[in-house]
Formats: sequence, structure tokens, C-alpha cells
Amino acid sequence: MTQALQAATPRPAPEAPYYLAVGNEVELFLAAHRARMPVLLKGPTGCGKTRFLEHMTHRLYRGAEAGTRAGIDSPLVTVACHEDLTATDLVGRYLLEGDDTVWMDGPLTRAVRDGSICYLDEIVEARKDTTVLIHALTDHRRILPIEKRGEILPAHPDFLLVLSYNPGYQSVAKDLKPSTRQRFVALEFDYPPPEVEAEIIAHEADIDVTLARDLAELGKRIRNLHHRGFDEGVSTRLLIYTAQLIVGGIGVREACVAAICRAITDDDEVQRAVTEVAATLLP
Amino acid sequence: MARVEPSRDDAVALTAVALDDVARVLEIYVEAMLARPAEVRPLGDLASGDRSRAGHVDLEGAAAAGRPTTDGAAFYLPERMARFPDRRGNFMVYRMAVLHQLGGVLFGTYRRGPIRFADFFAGFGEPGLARALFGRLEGARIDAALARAFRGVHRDLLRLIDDALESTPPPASDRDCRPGFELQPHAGPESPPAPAPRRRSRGPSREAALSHLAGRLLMAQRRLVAVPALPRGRGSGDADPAFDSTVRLKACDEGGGRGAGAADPALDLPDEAARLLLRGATVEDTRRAVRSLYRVFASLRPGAGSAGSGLSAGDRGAGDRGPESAADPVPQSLEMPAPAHHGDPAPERVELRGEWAELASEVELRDDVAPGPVASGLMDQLQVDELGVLSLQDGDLSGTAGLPLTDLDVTGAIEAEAGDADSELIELDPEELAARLEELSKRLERELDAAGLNRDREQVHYYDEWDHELAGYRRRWCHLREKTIEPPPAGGVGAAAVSEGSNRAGIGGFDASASGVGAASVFDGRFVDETRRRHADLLRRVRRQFELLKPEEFRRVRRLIEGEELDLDRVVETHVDRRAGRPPDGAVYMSRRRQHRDVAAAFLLDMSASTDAEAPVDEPEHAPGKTPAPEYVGVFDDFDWPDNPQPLPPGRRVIDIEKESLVLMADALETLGDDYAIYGFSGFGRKEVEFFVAKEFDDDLDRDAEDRIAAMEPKRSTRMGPAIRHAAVKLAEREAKVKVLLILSDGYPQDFDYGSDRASRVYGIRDTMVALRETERVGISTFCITVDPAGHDYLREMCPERRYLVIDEIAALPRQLPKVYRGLTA
Repeated sequence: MTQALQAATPRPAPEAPYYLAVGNEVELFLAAHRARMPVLLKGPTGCGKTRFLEHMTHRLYRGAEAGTRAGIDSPLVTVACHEDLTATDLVGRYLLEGDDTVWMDGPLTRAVRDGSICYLDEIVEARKDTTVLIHALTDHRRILPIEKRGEILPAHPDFLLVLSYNPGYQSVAKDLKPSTRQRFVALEFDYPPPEVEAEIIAHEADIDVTLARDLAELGKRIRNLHHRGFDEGVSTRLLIYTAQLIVGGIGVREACVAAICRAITDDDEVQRAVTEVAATLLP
Repeated sequence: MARVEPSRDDAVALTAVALDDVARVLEIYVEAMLARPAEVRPLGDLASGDRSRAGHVDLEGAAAAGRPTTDGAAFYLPERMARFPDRRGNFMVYRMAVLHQLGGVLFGTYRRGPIRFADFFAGFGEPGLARALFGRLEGARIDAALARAFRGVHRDLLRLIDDALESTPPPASDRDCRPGFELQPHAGPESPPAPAPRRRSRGPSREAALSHLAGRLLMAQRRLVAVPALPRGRGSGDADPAFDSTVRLKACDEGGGRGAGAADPALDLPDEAARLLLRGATVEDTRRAVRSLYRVFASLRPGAGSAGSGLSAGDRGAGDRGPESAADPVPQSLEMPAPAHHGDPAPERVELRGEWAELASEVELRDDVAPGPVASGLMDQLQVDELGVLSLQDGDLSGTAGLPLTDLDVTGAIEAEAGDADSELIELDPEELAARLEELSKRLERELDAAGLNRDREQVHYYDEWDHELAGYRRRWCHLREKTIEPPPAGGVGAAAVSEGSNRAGIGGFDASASGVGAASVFDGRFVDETRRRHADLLRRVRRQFELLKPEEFRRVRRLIEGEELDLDRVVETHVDRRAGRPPDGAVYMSRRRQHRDVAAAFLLDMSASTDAEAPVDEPEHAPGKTPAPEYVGVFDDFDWPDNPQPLPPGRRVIDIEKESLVLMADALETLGDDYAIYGFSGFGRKEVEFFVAKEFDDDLDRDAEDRIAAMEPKRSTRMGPAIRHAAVKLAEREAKVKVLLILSDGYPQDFDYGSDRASRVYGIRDTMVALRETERVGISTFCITVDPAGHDYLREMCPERRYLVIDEIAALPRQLPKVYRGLTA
């Protein structure tokens, strides 16, 4: 169970994962990291939060700024939060092994011990008891109380907690509490402006810039429909998928229908309208 | 009774596209392209105006000719499109028509220029001719700009232009029609239109010449879009040189002269017109071209009669021309062949509305200005801030980012100008501002009345309706309007309790609210208190029962294969099992799970005229010891209580008891903390379905909400389908695990046009059945409660199994409703 929760991040490739900065987010993150301030990444799905963090992790743990951190094995521990995720899942638990019980560190504990970045993706989905852990880790104490073992684990000096949170589609009930929120430096992400998005699409899918621009334009227009049953609009990720389908030999409009129209909504008429927008913008 | 009319021509019927079927798609399309919601309406909405008034040639003409147009707030399109022999093509015409109208917004047709459109046209001896020229030339400019901005439109534009060219017969001889542009000197941008020169008695007729010009324009347009879509340029005027050069050509090249142009008909255009197809052309260029070409055409002799078939050929297909337009010929045909998607830009009206909106929003901002009567009336009707199409002019580019700036008509000059206008307004003293707004409002009102524009801007929701005879949906068949109930002032009379509507003349005997038992009998502002007092006992019991429904915060779940905590007892058992040689089951974990009650409920009250009937006073089950045994098929027998309600005072109507039940439910639900809403419905005919809101989900049950419940009164008929669909839409928007829709009615669904045979109930019952199934399908439980003793017959057919209840004795409703609710949501 614990293993399944944790996406084991492989040792990053020698090159940093591609990330194109839209604003000053890179500088902000570096400064926050220097002071070991926990970071909150806000923004809609598929706009590049995770990629940004991968990029930053690489810079901080494998790049020029790495220093002693280069020796840390798994620098980024990602936990995708869901509504059944409890504090136990994060901290660890006793498991039975034959006649004995064996303690098993959870992903958060491991990151706290090793000095990795722990990334709790979509934190508001998790149960409320997880916030208790977060609070002790994110103020001056920097400790993780492991209740079951009666242990207080002080955090490794390099440990950094990063949360992501999508204010768009969550209900008010699931909002982050101010007492939690105010412990973080918040970086706000949004879909990049069309020119930047075009560049990203062109890079990720390896297509020519003109087509990438048209796709970015398309994304922009579809996002105008944010209240038509899909709060999130179309993500940069979907636009990249579309481009990749086109590279794979699928016709431009067919790719749009498959990767965008059908993916973002189940409403027939919205699908049809989006198809028409694609037909207007793309050759 | 409207039926789908069998077409004389089956092939056309199969391929024609009806606006009703695609209007929503088009609306969403516009919204995506423009970043603003917009309405798509049938041209019929425009044509119903008072045609006798002068000065509204453009919009009415557009309606008569079936040409798309806009009034600055909505897009108007023909009801049916049968231009091409395939559905795809006909839909394409609609889509391109919308895109073209929208292009007028994107590319600045309506931007404020140095001279107002009204003055511009009025400055010509024949404003009609100037308008025709402007429409056609501006249309060509917009198409060219669209082709540059959007790579996907070339194919469609090509098809439309070829189609227009096909239906434009070539002039007999070039020389006969060519009006001789060379004779005219260029007009300076600011020079006033010259008086029409003396008419020439020889040479081409004006109509032939206009047609000729339009034909040449079509050829040039074709040349432009026939070039395969090229990468479009960004920012400044870089990129696609090949694109422009095809038109830049020699025709536009001052040095090259006409010699080369004459050889290629596509290039044989006057400079002023050709320039409009190039990058960077603005509406000012179009006006300039109109000024200069007007002189040429005004000097030509008008043709005989209405100008022969060749002239209107291009227009013939621009939609479905109704028979009335054929009988109502435009006095002098100034139609110029154009692609089918072209429309009428109607710049004067849009401009007037824009000016009005600007002034009105300024007045709204200022506390010291009291708008005059006409102005305040209009400000109520037209939402000042909802003129989406217009507000784009003020430099808002949110929806258009990325378009080449040269095509987007937003320049520093405009913004500066807008800024000037604002500061000018701010300096005006209150009286003057009010006077100006009043004057403008009067003009606008005249315009709107003249064009028959529906000023009723309240939102109309369109719902499909199931026709069992067709075995299919009638698309957007029902028009539903949502209204908030306005309780009369305390102590007022109950009859006119609901805003609008009830004081309309009773049609066909459906309107019973103004007469009979109901008037003034109940509403005195204390209905809710009175109900609570009389049913105090019942209320206490219901509340207690509902308290019990509240869940414990946490529940421990044991015997889990995996979980948060080890359950010590189970661990020991496991060991025991193992030692004893039995295989342990390994379920040693436990978990604490939070329980929520997560319910959203909507109550939909039938407010038809029949609920005005008096409820029977005699209540046999009042006899002590006799428990009411309502006949229903249900699962709610598990809790019962002794009954001894207060005797029912005489003269109470069905609706009163329904309302009492709702009051008790509302109180009980407050205890339980469930999310709930209370709605009513009635209406008259498919286009006037009314949906009344007494309490919205997010409203508190305060004095106002209570008054609104008390003010629910009998209205007209019972068209259940659309009301159910609307309530389902509202429920679907709630975030809750359990969603229920409870419908309280007193009879079968009926309306004067609910099915072709008014005497037959089948249509309405089937539609309601389908509506209920649609609702169930999106995860909402439905339940119908009726007090009609004959209800079993149709409820069995209409409702999902075990999802209805027939209450023989209306007085039992307040007790039954909470039971039903508990059963549905527990």
C-alpha cells in the first residue's frame, strides 16, 4: 500500500527536465529553498506544477547548486493525495511479518530522514489529520512526531515540504485552512500565455512552431468556456498530447477531437462547439 | 399546435439544418471565440417589429432577406439553412455566419470613428445605397481579416465564395457594366460626401454596376483564400508576403496601373475596394471606399423595377427566405452578390447601443444622478454590463490575444479617445447627464420597438421535449423562465403575489388566480407562523425523528485486510488461530471512517390553476386510534406516529396544504442540516414555462424565504417536463452524494400544447416520464407525490418503480412528506 502511494522518482536524467519559466517562479523557489521555507504550488491541472518541481529538484540536487545534496538518493518523494489518505499512510505503520510487527517508514518520514523534497500533490484531497503533521514540520520546529513509535523525528537540514493545490475545482468545504495555508510561500501557476505555451508545445511534442501556435490559440479559446461544465479548461498537457498525436500521423482535426474535445467534456454540444473552434483555428 | 412541417422537398428536408438544433453549439462557439457569453437568436425575433416606422431599413431588411445580423447583444440567424445539399455544408454556413458577425467585433467594424455611423449614412443623398456598399465592402474586409487570423477558415470561405460566384451570372459584357471608376478622383478621408453628380442617361444601370462590382470583389476574395493556409504572422506586419501579394497585385500598386488589372478580372477592382482585402485595413478604409464609390454609383441610372434576377441571385440562398419576404419586395434592389454567410453589420444600431451603455454605466456609478423614466426603464430591461459584444471595443483583448495586432482594431488612438469620453462624462453635472441619458434612451427605445427586438433580457432556458409520436426529442422546444417570487407587502392581498404573470389576462380559462376561492383568502404574511403553531406537535415529532438521522461523526470499521490501525483483539485471535493450526484470516486492521450526511434535495411544487380547488374539510382519520393508511407503493412504513392534528379550517386549498407541508419540511431540514431548495412551476404553452424560486439552495430560511413560500399561488397549467429538467440541472450543480427531487402535484401533466391532442394525456405523461428518467440517469432520485386519487393510473407509467405516492387524503400530506423524505435519503 505504501509503495503504491509513492511514485518512486528515478534518479533524474543528467539533463534537467524541460521547464520554461513564465514569471519569476524559479527565483522565488530558489530563495524559498535557501531559507527552507515550505512552498505551496497553486494552479489548475496540467499547467506544469509537477514538471516545475522536477526541474527545480534537479537543479537543487543534481545541478550546479547541488553540493552535498548530490548524494541524496531519491531527491523527490511524490505522494498523490486522495480522500482516503491518512496521516498513517504518510508517516508509516507497523506491519505484521510472521510473528512480529515491523515498522515501515511512510514516504513523508523517509523524506524527512533523508533530506529530500516531499511533494504532496493535491493536498486538499487528503484527510484532515494530515495537516497536523504538516504543521509541526513547517514552522520553526521542523519535526515529525511519529506517534506510534513515540518518536520525534527532527528533519534533515535539506528536507523541504512542497504542497500542490488546485483552487479551481475543489469545493469550498475542501479548501485549505488559513492556519495551514499561511505556513507556505505560495507560487501561483496558470496556463502560460499563448506565445510561451506554443514554445512549450513545440518543444515537448517536437512540432513546428506554427502548429504549436495554433494549438496554443485553441487552448486559449477553449479556456474561455471555463464555466460550461468544465472548470479547468484544457490543460497544456492535453495540448501537448494533441501535438504528439499529430506527430504520430493522426490528422490535425482528428487529433483535436480525440485529445481535446472528448477529453474535456461529455456534453455533446460543447464537444461540437469545441470541434468547430478547432476547425476554425487549425488548417 | 406546432408540428414539424413535412417539407415539399424531401431531399432539402434531409439536409437542411434548423437553427434550433444548433443554436446552443453556436452560442458556445461564440463564447469560446469571444471570451464572452452571447446569444444566438432566430431572425424571426427581429422581424416582428413595427415595420411602418422609418429609419430601420437595415435590421428589417436583414430579417426580410434572411441575412444574419447582430444588434450588439445577440447574433440573429435564419431559422433554417438549406443553402447546400449536405448538412455539414449547411451547418458550416451557420458557423461562418456567426464567425463573420463576430469578425465585425474582432476587427473593429463597430469601433468609434471620427464620425458616427448614423451621421455618416445620413450624409449621403441615398443612405440605402451607402449602406449597401458599406455592408458588402465591410463584409469583404472582414472575410479577408478572418482568413489571415484563422488558418482553418480557408476551405469554408472558398466553398462559400464559389457558391456565390456560381449563382452570380456573369455580366453580358464587361463594358456594359463596368461603371468607370477612373473618372472619380480619390476622396480625402475627411472630405464630406459630394452631392450626387448628374445622373448619366447612358452606360450601365446602377444595379448592373453594383452587381459587377460585387462579382469582381468575389473574384478577388477567391484569389485571396485560394492560397493555401500559410503560417500566420504575429505582431507587426511580418510574414505571409505571398498571401498579400496575390491581392496587392498590380491593382493596388499605384504605378502598375489598370492595364494589367483589366486582363485579370480578379484584379479589376477599384483601389479603394482592393485595399480593404489587405492587412491593416480598418473600418475607416471601408468608409473611405464607400464615400468614393458612392459617387460613382449615385451617378448611374437606376435600373427598371427591382432590377432583375441577376442582382438578387447571390442573396437568394442566404438562408431560408420565407414566403412573406417574396411578397414584400425591397423597393429598390441594392442587393449585391455576396457569399451566403455575409450579413448585415447594422452599425448604427450597435453604435447607438454602445453609446447608451456607456452613458448608462456612468449614471449607474454616480449617486448624484437620477435617471429619467425612460432611462430607468431601459436600465432595468437591458443589463448595462451585459452588452458583451460591445464592451470588447474598449481594448479588452482577453479573448483575442495572439491575433496579429494589425488586424485587431485596437490602437492607442481608440483608447485615448475612450478615455477622453470618460473624462468628459465625469465633468458633466448631474442634470445634464440625466438629460443626455434620457434623450439617448428615448432614441434607443424607439429603435428597439421599431425593430421588434425582444427587450426582455431575462434569461431563457431552453429544454428539449420528448415526443412519443416522433420517438425523439423536439430540440429546444420549451422556453423556461426562472422567476423569483415576490411576496406582496405584509397584509397585502394574495392574488398577485408573484412578479409578473398572474395579472395577465386569463387565456383559455387557465388563469384562475385572479378569481375564485384563492383571492385574498390566505396570504397575510403570517402563513408560516400560523402553520408552525397549528402543527406544533407534528413539527416537534418530525424534528426529533430527523435528529436521529444525523450521523455519528466517526464510525469504526473492524476486520479489515488493511487499514490504519491494528485491532488488538483481532491480532490476538490471529495468533490463537495460528497456534491452533487454523489458517488465520489476516483481517486484523480497523479504520475510523467519517460519516457524512451529504444530501441535496429540491422540492418542486405544482402551481397549476387546479391547486386552487378547496381541500375536503372532512377528515375521517381524525378519529383517535385510526392511523391513516395511505395507499402507496413504498418503503417507508418503518416509522409512524399517532396522529391527532388540529382540525383543518374550512376554505383551505390544495396549494395551502402543499405549502404547509413544505414549511414543516423546511423546518425539519434546518434541523438536519441538509441542503434544500423549494421551487414551483406553472406556465402557459411551451414558450412560457415558468419556474418560480421560493428558496434557492444557498438561501437561508429567513423571513424573506418564508414569505416567498407563503406567496406561492395557483397560476396556470402543468407542464412538468421542462420544470423537472430545470430542477435537475440545478440539482446537478450541487455537490452532494445523495440528490433527490420531490415533486408535489395534484394531477397529471397538462398544457394546452402538451401534445397535438389536447384531450390526450399521453404526450405529457410520456414527456414527464422521459424527464424523470433523464434525471435518474444523472444520479438524482426522483419521487412524485400526488393528491389526485386517480393518480395511480398514470403515476405507475410515469415514475420509476416505487417512486411515487398517491395521497388520498390531502390533509395527510404534511405527515407523509417527511416520511417519504426520510426513506429517500436515509
